[in-house]
Amino acid sequence: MKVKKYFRPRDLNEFHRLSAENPDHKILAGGTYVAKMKFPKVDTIIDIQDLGLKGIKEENGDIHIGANVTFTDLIEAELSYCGGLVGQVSSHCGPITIRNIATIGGNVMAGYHWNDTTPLLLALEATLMFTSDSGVKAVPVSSFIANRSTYTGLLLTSIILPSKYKDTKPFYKRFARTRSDIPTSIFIVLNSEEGDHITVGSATVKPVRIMYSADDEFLINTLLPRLNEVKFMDDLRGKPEFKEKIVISQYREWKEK
Amino acid sequence: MDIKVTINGVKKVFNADPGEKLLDLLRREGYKGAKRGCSTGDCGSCAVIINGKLVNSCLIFAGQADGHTLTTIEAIGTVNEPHIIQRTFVEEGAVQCGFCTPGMILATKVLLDKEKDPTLTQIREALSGNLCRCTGYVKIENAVIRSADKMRSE
Ligand SMILES: Cc1cc2nc3c(=O)[nH]c(=O)nc-3n(C[C@H](O)[C@H](O)[C@H](O)COP(=O)(O)OP(=O)(O)OC[C@H]3O[C@@H](n4cnc5c(N)ncnc54)[C@H](O)[C@@H]3O)c2cc1C
Ligand code: FES
Ligand code: FES
Repeated sequence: MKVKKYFRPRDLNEFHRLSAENPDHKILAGGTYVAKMKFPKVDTIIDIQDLGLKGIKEENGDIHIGANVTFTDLIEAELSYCGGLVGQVSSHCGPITIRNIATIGGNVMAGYHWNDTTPLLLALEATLMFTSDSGVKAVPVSSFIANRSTYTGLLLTSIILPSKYKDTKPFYKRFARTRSDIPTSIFIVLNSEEGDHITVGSATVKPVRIMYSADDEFLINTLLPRLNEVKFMDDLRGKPEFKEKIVISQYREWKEK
Repeated sequence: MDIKVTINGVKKVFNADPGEKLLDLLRREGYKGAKRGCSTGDCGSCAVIINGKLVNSCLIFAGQADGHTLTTIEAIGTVNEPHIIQRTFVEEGAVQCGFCTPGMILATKVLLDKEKDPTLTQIREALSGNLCRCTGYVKIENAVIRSADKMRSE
């Protein structure tokens, strides 16, 4: 990356103008991903720290999280929403030096298959709020995961967590090689009026969310076939068979509870 | 581009290239306590404090620091007048090659500014971004515990 220009716009209008004038730009939030990558085409950095995307607020039970909120901000906010799940997941997003600067928006938009926040947001049926010079777009996380490239270049401004999971007690398991390693498998079960639904992330190419049906053979007949259809990851952290075994043990742990 | 910061209590204006990392800027300007270990955010040897939070200066563009308050190891103590934490690290044998030490001391400083009597879990969490290849961590943890004891009884 040979950066020739660095901007810190003060408002969205300035952001949109600079984005249009500099087509080979990269949005910069905390920088923990951008600073590590090469991006040969990028010649301009647009740092979004002054756009006011920092707040965390509750509105009619929904939680609105600014895209530039850091993981430390999320931990320190001590949200009681969904049994404190957001803070719990945030506490795993890298060591403290990373969590102090890395943002939830950057984590979602970096597009890693293994990250901690996408499965969380999928489980919570969150909505991503994007803005471009043609207006604001509300996108369910499930649509974003299915079609990520559609949203490249748009500015994520906030994330909305729906009130329906306000009082839910979550089941959350994260398997990683060490306490500070990135996850190998994430397994979340949340209950809502429709019943229990299971979300699996990191172990598979994309996070997957499935309604649970109280069927003795659910694991064999429904969950594993669906995960195999999406595909278990084959990467540094293990072969697909290993990932499948972890998911099975996480599922059994939930069933035993 | 101009980078205006308050660094170690002094207001300064530095000139930086648009793509320059804070670590390179600091070292160029003589703040050599921040070290380059991995450049990927894994080791913490480049750690500095920005607005009270410990961060890796290798992953931060200089432009991100503009307008903020920075503390580097140079502000913590000197060879002749080391900070209690620095003295205790030496006494406990928590320093061997010393490459990780500035980051470890800053991480300890941030922790003890907030928690006067931290638990071992809190200590491990506070040091989670700092790797040491020499000591095996036990002596570092002991040094943090003893620094806290001494600072409480001061
Ligand atoms: C040592 C280390 C350990 C880590 N461990 C974990 C872990 O355990 N779990 C985990 O999930 N992650 C982990 N990470 C990844 C880290 O969480 C991400 O790098 C971080 O969340 C990205 O956020 P950022 O603010 O630094 O983004 P940046 O690096 O600034 O940006 C990331 C990407 O998102 C784009 N972007 C940023 N903000 C927006 C926005 N508002 N709108 C549109 N696009 C945007 C940028 O253009 C870029 O493409 C780790 C990283 C490191 C270095
Ligand atoms: S040099 Fe910055 S974390 Fe290793
Ligand atoms: S003392 Fe050598 S790396 Fe820590």
